[in-house]
Order: sequence, then structure tokens, then C-alpha cells
Amino acid sequence: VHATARTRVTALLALPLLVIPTACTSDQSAPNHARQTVASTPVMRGSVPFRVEVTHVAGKLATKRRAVLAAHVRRTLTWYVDSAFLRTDYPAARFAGAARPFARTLASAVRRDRALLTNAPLARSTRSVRATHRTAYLSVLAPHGSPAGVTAAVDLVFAVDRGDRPAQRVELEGRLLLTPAHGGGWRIFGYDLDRSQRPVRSAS
Amino acid sequence: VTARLPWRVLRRAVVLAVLLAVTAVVVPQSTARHSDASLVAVHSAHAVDHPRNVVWILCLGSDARPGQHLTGTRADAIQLVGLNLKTGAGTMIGIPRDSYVDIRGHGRNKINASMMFGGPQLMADSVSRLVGVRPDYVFTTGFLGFRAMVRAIGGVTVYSKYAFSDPVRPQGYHKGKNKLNPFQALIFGRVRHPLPHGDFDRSANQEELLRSILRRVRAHQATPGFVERGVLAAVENMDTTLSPPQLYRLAQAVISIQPAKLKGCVVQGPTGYAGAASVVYPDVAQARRLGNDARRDGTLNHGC
Repeated sequence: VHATARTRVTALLALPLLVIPTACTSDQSAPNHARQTVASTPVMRGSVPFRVEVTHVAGKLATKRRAVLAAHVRRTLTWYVDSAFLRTDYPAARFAGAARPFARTLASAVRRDRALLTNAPLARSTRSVRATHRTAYLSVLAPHGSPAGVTAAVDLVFAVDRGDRPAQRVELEGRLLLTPAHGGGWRIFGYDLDRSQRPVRSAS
Repeated sequence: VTARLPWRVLRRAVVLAVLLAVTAVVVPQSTARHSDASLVAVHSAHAVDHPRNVVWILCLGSDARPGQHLTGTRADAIQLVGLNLKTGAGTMIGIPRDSYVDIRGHGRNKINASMMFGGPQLMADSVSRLVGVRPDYVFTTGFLGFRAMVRAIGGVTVYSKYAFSDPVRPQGYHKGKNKLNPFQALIFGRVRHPLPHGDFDRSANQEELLRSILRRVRAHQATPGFVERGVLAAVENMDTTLSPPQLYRLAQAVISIQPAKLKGCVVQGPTGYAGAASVVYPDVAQARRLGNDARRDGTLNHGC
């Protein structure tokens, strides 16, 4: 019998960003870093698509802009998921780049929570990782018809193949908080996540 | 119209709840003002020497009357709130409104007159000279949304240090746990005469109200769209120099604080008279000690 390990991680806020005026960027621009990472990080095949939907809007946001916003937030979240889990360089993965979608002032928190935010604990025994479920439902703050903040309610489930060792089911569930980044795109400024892990064979 | 009214009330309520979960207000008798609240960054915030994971907000309850500007009248509820975003702990330093202090450029006066003389910036200056901590932000609110806020979150549960009576609560305020409706909550933050230590106990009650509001808001934070609706109401109804993303981050920061880790102290001092005015001579040494204790980590490590 294997008990489910469940751990919660929270971190919030890039305070300097509060006092440094933040560009209220349009959702027309995608995160530069996200474009680069998605393009440069080899990703395991066989994962389910990342479903990202706008479900709540405080303010007004045209249907077309909702779709654009969802696409851009999806890029940021995809960057994180690809870098933190769906890499191809196991067992040597060092998870470089996994912190880049996060605000710089969260860097120390992300380092502290590396074992929870990435597949680092299993990396050395991992053959491959597939996402078997990944959804993000977005609650959007959109004053003046422009998105200014997003809470992404995420549910990410990964199947970690470990060769002759029991495969593991890793789930991350909770909230990622995002605001527009300087230079375009979206950046994660806070997170409140639960992580659980259990052998695949014991999964219901 | 009838269908939309509750929503407006809710939005206005959530604004205050989300954006600070923070200010227990001393409520004037009647109101109609230009805005329900204001939030400004203190000009010299960059010069403040504090770790980046700590933010200080000066929360003020204005006594603005109908037609008066919220930030152009006296501030009658004064709470300097430090939030440690890394640990989820926080500190509330309550300052009696009658504290008799030096106000830059205006001589000695009650500290709450600073708002009238120079708005939030001068108020921040006076408080920082007393406590030794300069706030990053000054949040000012009247009472207009207070009852609606409490109504929207289904009332609050406070832990009263004293039993006292008031006509708004026939069963009285009990020592210990009290579930309060909006008006009762309002009174809890206003009354001072039935309390043994008057202004000092009232300030402590305001801190308990903040804690109780934070408890309720946190209970809703995972509800999809809750925080966003609150911040939208702030954007639409509050005078602020902060951009919507900044407000959003600040709101998320405030509600990341754990109520059980939000400790409060009230600056003490003897009462007396300055001319005909009843004043409090604040214990500057205590105020500075509290400031020194909490400045860097937003946490009171050595009690009050």
C-alpha cells in the first residue's frame, strides 16, 4: 500500500513590481521568453493537449480577445510545464528555465520549492514524462476591456515512467497568478499549489 | 434595477475586503463622498530600507462628511499594517487618533490632523516619524462600503476582549466569540466609551475586525472570479495611482496573509489636554520599539 504524498506550496508576489509602474500591455503580444522556450525545449511526445479557457471575466473582454488571452497565457503555462516536467533530457535534467515564467523576485521561492514545482525529486530515475491531464481555467480581471490580471486554476497530471521502478502519477493542482509582463506576454507572480504523488498502479 | 443592486453592493464590498481586508473604520454619522476609498503609493517608497518581501500599508479611516474629499479630512482610524509575503505573517500597529505629535510644517497637533493638512503623504510622514517605519502605500476609506462589505461576506466573527452593550446588538457584545451583522461590526469598530481603555481598546477592536474580515475573505479566495471582481470594483470606484496589475498584485498579497499570524499592538500613552483638546501623549519609545521590531520582517517578535 502506497500512501499519497501531498504537499502544498505557496508563494506570492513580486513586491518591487508593485512600486515600479507596470506596463499595461495588450494581450496581443506573446511573451518573448515563452516563444523561445517552447521552441527550444525538447518535449516528450504523447501528452494530452493543454486546455486553457477563460471562464470568468470581471469587466468586459470581447470573445475574440478572450481567445487571444487564453492563447498567450497558455504559452506561459506551457513554458513552465515543458521546462519543469515534459523534458527529454532525463535523467540529467537540471530544469534550467523552469523559473523563467515566474517573476524574478520569486526566484528564491521557486528555488526553494523546486522539488515541488518540478520533477526534480524523480529526475534521476525518470525515463520519460507524459501529461495525462492538463487544464487551466482562467478568471480574468479586465478593466477598460483589457486584461490586467489572471488567476489560472490549474490541474496538471503527469505520468512518470521510471523504467523498472514503479511509474508515478504526479498531480499539481491549485492556482497560478499572472499579470502582464514588461515587453509583452504574461508572467507568474504567485502560486498556491498542492502536489501529490503516488504509484500509477494504485491510482483509481 | 432590483436585480443589479445586490451585485453593485457586492462589488463595492469586495473592494474593501480584497484590497486590504484591512481597515476597520471609524464611521461618521452620514456620508456621501467623492469616492469610497483611495490608495496611493508613498512618494519615497523606494528609499525605504526593507526586504522586498515585506510591504507596509497605512490604513486610514477617514471621517469625511458628505461633500468632503476622503483624503482631505481627519483620519480617525489609523493602522500601520506590515505584511510579510514570504511567511504569511503580519503586524498591525494601531495609533490612537488623538496622539499628540509633531506634524511636519504644522507644529504639534493630533496626528489625525495630518490628513487634513497634507493628505495621505503627510499622514504617512507623521506616522513614520512616530513609529519609524515608512509605509509603501496609504489606503484611505470612509465607511460607505463597510457595512455592504460585511454583508457581502456574510458577516464577521470577532473575538471581543470585553463584554459591553450597545443598542444595535440586543444580546450585547460578549467577551469572546461574537458573530456580527454589518451594523454590529461597524459599532464594534467605533465604540470606545464602554471600553475600559477607550481609544486604545477601540483601536484593538479595529485590529480584530481586520483579522475577522481577512478570515472571511480568505474563505472565498479560491472561488473563481472572486478576487478579480473585487479588484475591478477597486479600479472603478477607488482613487488610486496604482495600475490595475499593481492593484491585482497588492490584493493577492494582502489575502495571502494568514489571520492567525496577523498580530496587533496599539501604541499606548497617557491622556491629557493640549489647550482644550483631549489628547494622547503617545509612548514614542514603545512606538519606535514596535517599528524596530517589525520593520524588516513585518512581524512582531517581542510582543507589544
